Amino acid sequence: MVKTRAIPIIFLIAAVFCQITVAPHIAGFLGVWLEWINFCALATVIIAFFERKSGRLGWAAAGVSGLFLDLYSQKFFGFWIIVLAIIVALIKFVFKKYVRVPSFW
Amino acid sequence: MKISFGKNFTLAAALFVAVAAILAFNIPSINSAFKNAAYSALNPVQKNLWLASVGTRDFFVSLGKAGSLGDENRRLKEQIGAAQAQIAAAQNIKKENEFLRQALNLGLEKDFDLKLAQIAGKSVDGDILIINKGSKDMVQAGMAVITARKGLAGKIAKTYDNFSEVAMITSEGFSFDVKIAGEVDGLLKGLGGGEAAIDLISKDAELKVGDSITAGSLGGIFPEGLLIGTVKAIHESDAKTFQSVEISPAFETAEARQVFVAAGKDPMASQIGSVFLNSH
Repeated sequence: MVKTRAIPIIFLIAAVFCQITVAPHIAGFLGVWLEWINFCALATVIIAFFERKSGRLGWAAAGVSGLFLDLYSQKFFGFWIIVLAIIVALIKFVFKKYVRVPSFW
Repeated sequence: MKISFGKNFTLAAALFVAVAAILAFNIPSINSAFKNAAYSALNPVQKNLWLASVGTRDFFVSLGKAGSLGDENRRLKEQIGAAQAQIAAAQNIKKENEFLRQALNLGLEKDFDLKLAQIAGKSVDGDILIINKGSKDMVQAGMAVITARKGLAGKIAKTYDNFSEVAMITSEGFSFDVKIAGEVDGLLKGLGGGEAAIDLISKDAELKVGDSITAGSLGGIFPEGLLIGTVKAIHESDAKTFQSVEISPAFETAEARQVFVAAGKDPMASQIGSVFLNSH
Protein backbone atom coordinates (compact mmCIF):
# COMPACT_ATOMS: atom_id res chain seq x y z
CA MET A 1 0.00 0.00 0.00
CA VAL A 2 2.72 2.42 1.11
CA LYS A 3 4.91 1.31 -1.80
CA THR A 4 2.22 1.91 -4.41
CA ARG A 5 1.72 5.41 -3.06
CA ALA A 6 5.39 6.21 -2.51
CA ILE A 7 6.50 5.31 -6.04
CA PRO A 8 4.29 7.90 -7.80
CA ILE A 9 5.31 10.57 -5.26
CA ILE A 10 9.03 9.85 -5.85
CA PHE A 11 8.28 9.96 -9.58
CA LEU A 12 6.70 13.41 -9.08
CA ILE A 13 9.72 14.76 -7.20
CA ALA A 14 11.97 13.42 -9.98
CA ALA A 15 9.72 15.24 -12.48
CA VAL A 16 10.27 18.54 -10.62
CA PHE A 17 14.04 18.09 -10.69
CA CYS A 18 13.85 17.29 -14.41
CA GLN A 19 11.82 20.45 -14.92
CA ILE A 20 14.28 22.79 -13.22
CA THR A 21 17.61 21.21 -14.16
CA VAL A 22 17.38 18.89 -17.18
CA ALA A 23 14.66 20.56 -19.30
CA PRO A 24 16.54 23.86 -19.89
CA HIS A 25 19.42 21.87 -21.40
CA ILE A 26 17.59 19.35 -23.56
CA ALA A 27 15.24 22.10 -24.78
CA GLY A 28 18.29 23.68 -26.43
CA PHE A 29 18.63 20.93 -29.02
CA LEU A 30 15.38 18.94 -28.89
CA GLY A 31 13.10 21.97 -29.10
CA VAL A 32 12.20 24.99 -27.01
CA TRP A 33 8.66 23.60 -26.55
CA LEU A 34 10.12 21.08 -24.09
CA GLU A 35 10.78 23.90 -21.65
CA TRP A 36 7.11 24.84 -21.73
CA ILE A 37 5.87 21.41 -20.71
CA ASN A 38 5.16 21.22 -17.01
CA PHE A 39 6.26 17.63 -16.34
CA CYS A 40 5.12 17.76 -12.74
CA ALA A 41 1.60 18.99 -13.49
CA LEU A 42 1.37 16.44 -16.29
CA ALA A 43 2.40 13.63 -13.94
CA THR A 44 -0.21 14.76 -11.38
CA VAL A 45 -2.93 14.71 -14.06
CA ILE A 46 -1.86 11.20 -15.14
CA ILE A 47 -1.99 9.94 -11.54
CA ALA A 48 -5.42 11.50 -10.95
CA PHE A 49 -6.57 10.06 -14.27
CA PHE A 50 -5.65 6.45 -13.50
CA GLU A 51 -6.34 6.15 -9.80
CA ARG A 52 -9.54 4.75 -8.26
CA LYS A 53 -12.48 7.14 -7.98
CA SER A 54 -12.26 7.00 -4.19
CA GLY A 55 -8.44 7.12 -4.14
CA ARG A 56 -6.55 9.91 -2.38
CA LEU A 57 -3.26 9.65 -4.25
CA GLY A 58 -4.35 12.38 -6.69
CA TRP A 59 -4.77 14.81 -3.79
CA ALA A 60 -1.41 13.82 -2.32
CA ALA A 61 0.19 14.25 -5.76
CA ALA A 62 -1.38 17.71 -6.12
CA GLY A 63 -0.04 18.68 -2.70
CA VAL A 64 3.49 17.37 -3.22
CA SER A 65 3.96 18.59 -6.79
CA GLY A 66 2.22 21.89 -5.97
CA LEU A 67 4.60 22.42 -3.06
CA PHE A 68 7.68 21.76 -5.19
CA LEU A 69 6.42 23.85 -8.11
CA ASP A 70 5.65 26.74 -5.73
CA LEU A 71 9.19 26.45 -4.42
CA TYR A 72 10.60 27.12 -7.89
CA SER A 73 7.89 29.48 -9.11
CA GLN A 74 7.70 33.27 -9.22
CA LYS A 75 3.99 33.23 -8.45
CA PHE A 76 2.56 33.56 -4.93
CA PHE A 77 3.11 30.57 -2.67
CA GLY A 78 0.20 28.16 -2.99
CA PHE A 79 -0.60 29.01 -6.62
CA TRP A 80 0.38 25.61 -7.98
CA ILE A 81 -1.13 23.72 -5.02
CA ILE A 82 -4.47 25.43 -5.67
CA VAL A 83 -4.28 24.97 -9.47
CA LEU A 84 -3.40 21.28 -9.23
CA ALA A 85 -6.01 20.64 -6.51
CA ILE A 86 -8.66 22.20 -8.78
CA ILE A 87 -7.50 20.06 -11.71
CA VAL A 88 -7.60 16.88 -9.58
CA ALA A 89 -11.06 17.85 -8.26
CA LEU A 90 -12.32 18.40 -11.81
CA ILE A 91 -10.92 15.06 -13.02
CA LYS A 92 -12.48 13.24 -10.07
CA PHE A 93 -15.80 15.01 -10.56
CA VAL A 94 -15.97 14.19 -14.28
CA PHE A 95 -14.92 10.57 -13.70
CA LYS A 96 -17.36 10.09 -10.83
CA LYS A 97 -20.27 11.46 -12.80
CA TYR A 98 -19.64 10.43 -16.39
CA VAL A 99 -16.72 8.04 -17.01
CA ARG A 100 -15.56 4.52 -16.19
CA VAL A 101 -11.83 3.78 -16.66
CA PRO A 102 -9.52 0.97 -15.47
CA SER A 103 -7.72 1.87 -12.23
CA PHE A 104 -4.13 0.91 -11.31
CA TRP A 105 -3.55 2.63 -7.96
CA MET B 1 -29.27 11.04 4.05
CA LYS B 2 -26.72 10.33 6.73
CA ILE B 3 -24.30 13.14 7.51
CA SER B 4 -20.95 12.12 8.99
CA PHE B 5 -20.01 14.98 11.33
CA GLY B 6 -16.60 13.52 12.13
CA LYS B 7 -15.57 13.23 8.46
CA ASN B 8 -16.77 16.76 7.64
CA PHE B 9 -14.99 18.17 10.67
CA THR B 10 -11.71 16.46 9.66
CA LEU B 11 -12.07 17.80 6.10
CA ALA B 12 -12.82 21.33 7.34
CA ALA B 13 -9.88 21.19 9.75
CA ALA B 14 -7.54 19.97 7.00
CA LEU B 15 -8.72 22.75 4.68
CA PHE B 16 -8.27 25.35 7.42
CA VAL B 17 -4.73 24.15 8.12
CA ALA B 18 -3.90 24.15 4.38
CA VAL B 19 -5.23 27.71 3.86
CA ALA B 20 -3.45 28.95 7.01
CA ALA B 21 -0.19 27.32 5.86
CA ILE B 22 -0.47 28.90 2.38
CA LEU B 23 -1.15 32.33 3.90
CA ALA B 24 1.74 31.94 6.34
CA PHE B 25 4.15 30.91 3.57
CA ASN B 26 3.30 34.11 1.69
CA ILE B 27 4.65 36.27 4.52
CA PRO B 28 7.98 37.47 3.00
CA SER B 29 10.22 36.53 5.96
CA ILE B 30 8.71 33.04 6.32
CA ASN B 31 8.72 32.56 2.54
CA SER B 32 12.42 33.52 2.30
CA ALA B 33 13.42 31.32 5.24
CA PHE B 34 11.47 28.34 3.87
CA LYS B 35 12.80 28.71 0.32
CA ASN B 36 16.37 29.17 1.58
CA ALA B 37 16.10 26.03 3.73
CA ALA B 38 14.55 24.03 0.89
CA TYR B 39 17.14 25.22 -1.66
CA SER B 40 19.94 24.36 0.80
CA ALA B 41 18.55 20.86 1.32
CA LEU B 42 17.97 20.21 -2.38
CA ASN B 43 21.06 22.00 -3.71
CA PRO B 44 23.41 18.96 -3.78
CA VAL B 45 20.97 17.05 -6.01
CA GLN B 46 20.10 20.08 -8.14
CA LYS B 47 23.73 21.17 -8.63
CA ASN B 48 24.86 17.73 -9.75
CA LEU B 49 21.85 17.25 -12.01
CA TRP B 50 22.51 20.63 -13.63
CA LEU B 51 26.19 19.76 -14.26
CA ALA B 52 25.27 16.29 -15.54
CA SER B 53 22.71 17.85 -17.88
CA VAL B 54 25.31 20.22 -19.35
CA GLY B 55 27.66 17.28 -19.96
CA THR B 56 24.90 15.12 -21.47
CA ARG B 57 23.77 17.96 -23.71
CA ASP B 58 27.35 18.53 -24.95
CA PHE B 59 27.68 14.80 -25.72
CA PHE B 60 24.45 14.63 -27.73
CA VAL B 61 25.14 17.89 -29.55
CA SER B 62 28.58 16.60 -30.66
CA LEU B 63 27.01 13.25 -31.59
CA GLY B 64 24.41 15.01 -33.74
CA LYS B 65 27.16 16.91 -35.56
CA ALA B 66 29.31 13.80 -36.25
CA GLY B 67 28.10 13.54 -39.88
CA SER B 68 29.18 17.05 -40.76
CA LEU B 69 32.55 17.01 -38.96
CA GLY B 70 34.57 17.07 -42.22
CA ASP B 71 32.78 20.17 -43.52
CA GLU B 72 32.98 21.81 -40.13
CA ASN B 73 36.72 21.09 -39.90
CA ARG B 74 37.32 22.76 -43.29
CA ARG B 75 35.19 25.73 -42.32
CA LEU B 76 36.95 26.09 -38.97
CA LYS B 77 40.39 26.03 -40.64
CA GLU B 78 39.28 28.90 -42.86
CA GLN B 79 38.01 30.75 -39.82
CA ILE B 80 41.31 30.15 -37.97
CA GLY B 81 43.18 31.83 -40.82
CA ALA B 82 40.91 34.86 -40.65
CA ALA B 83 41.03 34.87 -36.84
CA GLN B 84 44.85 34.91 -36.75
CA ALA B 85 44.85 38.14 -38.73
CA GLN B 86 42.27 39.57 -36.35
CA ILE B 87 44.32 38.49 -33.31
CA ALA B 88 47.32 40.43 -34.57
CA ALA B 89 45.16 43.54 -34.93
CA ALA B 90 43.47 42.89 -31.58
CA GLN B 91 46.80 42.66 -29.73
CA ASN B 92 47.56 46.24 -30.67
CA ILE B 93 44.07 47.31 -29.60
CA LYS B 94 44.46 45.36 -26.33
CA LYS B 95 47.60 47.28 -25.38
CA GLU B 96 45.85 50.55 -26.14
CA ASN B 97 42.76 49.37 -24.23
CA GLU B 98 44.78 48.38 -21.14
CA PHE B 99 46.39 51.76 -21.11
CA LEU B 100 42.99 53.47 -21.34
CA ARG B 101 41.51 51.25 -18.61
CA GLN B 102 44.31 52.11 -16.26
CA ALA B 103 43.94 55.75 -17.11
CA LEU B 104 40.17 55.86 -16.75
CA ASN B 105 39.75 53.28 -13.93
CA LEU B 106 37.32 51.21 -16.01
CA GLY B 107 38.73 47.77 -15.16
CA LEU B 108 35.96 45.39 -14.22
CA GLU B 109 37.99 43.83 -11.39
CA LYS B 110 38.79 47.27 -10.10
CA ASP B 111 35.16 48.36 -9.88
CA PHE B 112 33.62 45.06 -8.86
CA ASP B 113 34.11 42.15 -6.50
CA LEU B 114 33.45 39.17 -8.72
CA LYS B 115 31.81 36.33 -6.78
CA LEU B 116 31.77 32.93 -8.45
CA ALA B 117 28.35 31.27 -8.19
CA GLN B 118 27.10 27.86 -9.25
CA ILE B 119 23.77 27.65 -11.09
CA ALA B 120 21.42 25.41 -9.12
CA GLY B 121 18.33 25.45 -11.33
CA LYS B 122 15.84 27.40 -13.38
CA SER B 123 12.42 28.61 -12.31
CA VAL B 124 9.44 26.68 -13.66
CA ASP B 125 7.61 29.72 -14.97
CA GLY B 126 10.05 32.39 -16.08
CA ASP B 127 13.59 33.20 -17.20
CA ILE B 128 14.86 33.11 -13.63
CA LEU B 129 17.96 31.21 -12.52
CA ILE B 130 18.75 30.10 -8.98
CA ILE B 131 22.40 30.50 -7.90
CA ASN B 132 24.15 29.37 -4.72
CA LYS B 133 25.24 32.79 -3.44
CA GLY B 134 22.97 34.89 -1.25
CA SER B 135 22.83 37.80 1.16
CA LYS B 136 25.35 36.06 3.46
CA ASP B 137 27.84 36.38 0.59
CA MET B 138 27.05 40.14 0.34
CA VAL B 139 24.96 39.62 -2.78
CA GLN B 140 22.24 42.27 -3.17
CA ALA B 141 19.27 42.77 -5.44
CA GLY B 142 20.17 44.69 -8.59
CA MET B 143 23.74 43.42 -8.91
CA ALA B 144 24.87 42.37 -12.38
CA VAL B 145 25.38 38.68 -13.14
CA ILE B 146 28.00 38.02 -15.81
CA THR B 147 29.71 35.09 -17.52
CA ALA B 148 33.42 34.27 -17.67
CA ARG B 149 33.44 35.74 -21.20
CA LYS B 150 32.13 39.03 -19.83
CA GLY B 151 28.69 38.42 -21.24
CA LEU B 152 25.73 39.76 -19.29
CA ALA B 153 23.44 37.04 -17.95
CA GLY B 154 21.05 39.28 -15.97
CA LYS B 155 20.72 40.84 -12.55
CA ILE B 156 19.95 39.66 -9.03
CA ALA B 157 16.19 39.90 -8.58
CA LYS B 158 15.81 38.46 -5.08
CA THR B 159 18.19 37.23 -2.42
CA TYR B 160 17.88 34.59 0.28
CA ASP B 161 20.51 33.85 2.93
CA ASN B 162 22.45 31.35 0.80
CA PHE B 163 20.78 31.61 -2.61
CA SER B 164 19.65 34.24 -5.08
CA GLU B 165 17.26 34.47 -7.99
CA VAL B 166 18.72 35.93 -11.18
CA ALA B 167 16.36 37.65 -13.63
CA MET B 168 17.88 36.88 -17.03
CA ILE B 169 17.98 39.64 -19.67
CA THR B 170 15.29 37.73 -21.55
CA SER B 171 12.86 37.71 -18.59
CA GLU B 172 9.65 39.65 -19.10
CA GLY B 173 9.79 43.28 -18.00
CA PHE B 174 13.59 43.49 -18.03
CA SER B 175 14.82 46.62 -19.86
CA PHE B 176 18.02 48.67 -20.11
CA ASP B 177 19.98 50.67 -22.66
CA VAL B 178 22.37 48.97 -25.07
CA LYS B 179 24.73 49.82 -27.90
CA ILE B 180 24.67 47.98 -31.20
CA ALA B 181 27.98 47.69 -33.09
CA GLY B 182 29.45 50.02 -30.48
CA GLU B 183 27.67 53.15 -31.66
CA VAL B 184 23.90 52.78 -32.14
CA ASP B 185 21.76 53.28 -29.03
CA GLY B 186 18.67 51.20 -28.30
CA LEU B 187 16.50 49.90 -25.48
CA LEU B 188 16.62 46.15 -24.80
CA LYS B 189 13.43 44.54 -23.56
CA GLY B 190 13.09 40.98 -22.32
CA LEU B 191 10.12 39.18 -23.87
CA GLY B 192 10.20 35.97 -21.84
CA GLY B 193 10.76 32.43 -23.11
CA GLY B 194 14.44 33.08 -23.86
CA GLU B 195 13.62 35.94 -26.26
CA ALA B 196 14.63 39.61 -26.18
CA ALA B 197 14.35 42.50 -28.62
CA ILE B 198 15.84 45.97 -28.96
CA ASP B 199 13.53 48.89 -29.65
CA LEU B 200 13.84 52.68 -30.09
CA ILE B 201 16.66 52.38 -32.66
CA SER B 202 17.01 55.37 -34.96
CA LYS B 203 15.86 54.68 -38.53
CA ASP B 204 19.04 56.25 -39.84
CA ALA B 205 21.20 53.60 -38.15
CA GLU B 206 22.64 51.04 -40.53
CA LEU B 207 22.50 47.63 -38.88
CA LYS B 208 23.29 44.16 -40.10
CA VAL B 209 22.64 40.66 -38.81
CA GLY B 210 25.53 39.52 -36.59
CA ASP B 211 26.35 42.97 -35.19
CA SER B 212 27.45 42.71 -31.57
CA ILE B 213 25.33 44.23 -28.80
CA THR B 214 26.89 45.58 -25.61
CA ALA B 215 25.57 47.22 -22.44
CA GLY B 216 25.20 50.98 -22.71
CA SER B 217 26.29 53.62 -20.24
CA LEU B 218 23.20 55.83 -20.04
CA GLY B 219 21.44 54.01 -17.22
CA GLY B 220 24.58 53.32 -15.18
CA ILE B 221 23.08 49.96 -14.25
CA PHE B 222 25.58 47.56 -15.78
CA PRO B 223 29.28 48.04 -16.52
CA GLU B 224 29.55 49.51 -20.00
CA GLY B 225 30.73 47.18 -22.73
CA LEU B 226 29.46 43.87 -21.30
CA LEU B 227 28.47 41.61 -24.17
CA ILE B 228 24.73 41.10 -24.51
CA GLY B 229 24.54 39.12 -27.76
CA THR B 230 24.28 39.60 -31.51
CA VAL B 231 21.62 40.89 -33.91
CA LYS B 232 19.45 38.00 -35.15
CA ALA B 233 16.89 39.85 -37.29
CA ILE B 234 16.10 43.47 -38.16
CA HIS B 235 12.54 44.80 -38.37
CA GLU B 236 11.96 48.05 -40.18
CA SER B 237 8.59 49.47 -41.11
CA ASP B 238 7.60 52.75 -42.80
CA ALA B 239 4.70 53.00 -40.37
CA LYS B 240 6.99 53.02 -37.34
CA THR B 241 9.22 55.84 -36.15
CA PHE B 242 11.97 53.50 -34.97
CA GLN B 243 13.41 50.20 -36.12
CA SER B 244 13.73 47.17 -33.87
CA VAL B 245 15.88 44.05 -33.81
CA GLU B 246 15.62 40.54 -32.43
CA ILE B 247 18.72 39.34 -30.60
CA SER B 248 20.58 36.09 -29.96
CA PRO B 249 21.65 36.38 -26.31
CA ALA B 250 25.33 35.67 -25.58
CA PHE B 251 24.33 33.89 -22.38
CA GLU B 252 23.10 30.37 -23.13
CA THR B 253 21.35 28.76 -20.16
CA ALA B 254 21.93 25.31 -21.59
CA GLU B 255 25.72 25.77 -21.71
CA ALA B 256 26.15 27.66 -18.44
CA ARG B 257 27.66 26.01 -15.37
CA GLN B 258 28.79 29.00 -13.35
CA VAL B 259 28.37 32.77 -13.37
CA PHE B 260 29.94 35.74 -11.62
CA VAL B 261 28.00 38.17 -9.48
CA ALA B 262 29.48 41.63 -9.91
CA ALA B 263 29.20 43.12 -6.43
CA GLY B 264 30.01 46.82 -6.45
CA LYS B 265 32.88 48.01 -4.28
CA ASP B 266 31.48 51.49 -4.61
CA PRO B 267 28.78 52.04 -1.93
CA MET B 268 26.71 53.77 -4.64
CA ALA B 269 26.58 50.57 -6.68
CA SER B 270 23.98 48.90 -4.47
CA GLN B 271 21.88 52.06 -4.50
CA ILE B 272 21.98 52.16 -8.26
CA GLY B 273 20.89 48.54 -8.24
CA SER B 274 17.97 49.17 -5.90
CA VAL B 275 16.84 52.22 -7.90
CA PHE B 276 16.84 50.04 -10.99
CA LEU B 277 14.97 47.31 -9.18
CA ASN B 278 12.27 49.73 -8.04
CA SER B 279 11.85 51.16 -11.52
CA HIS B 280 11.88 47.69 -13.08
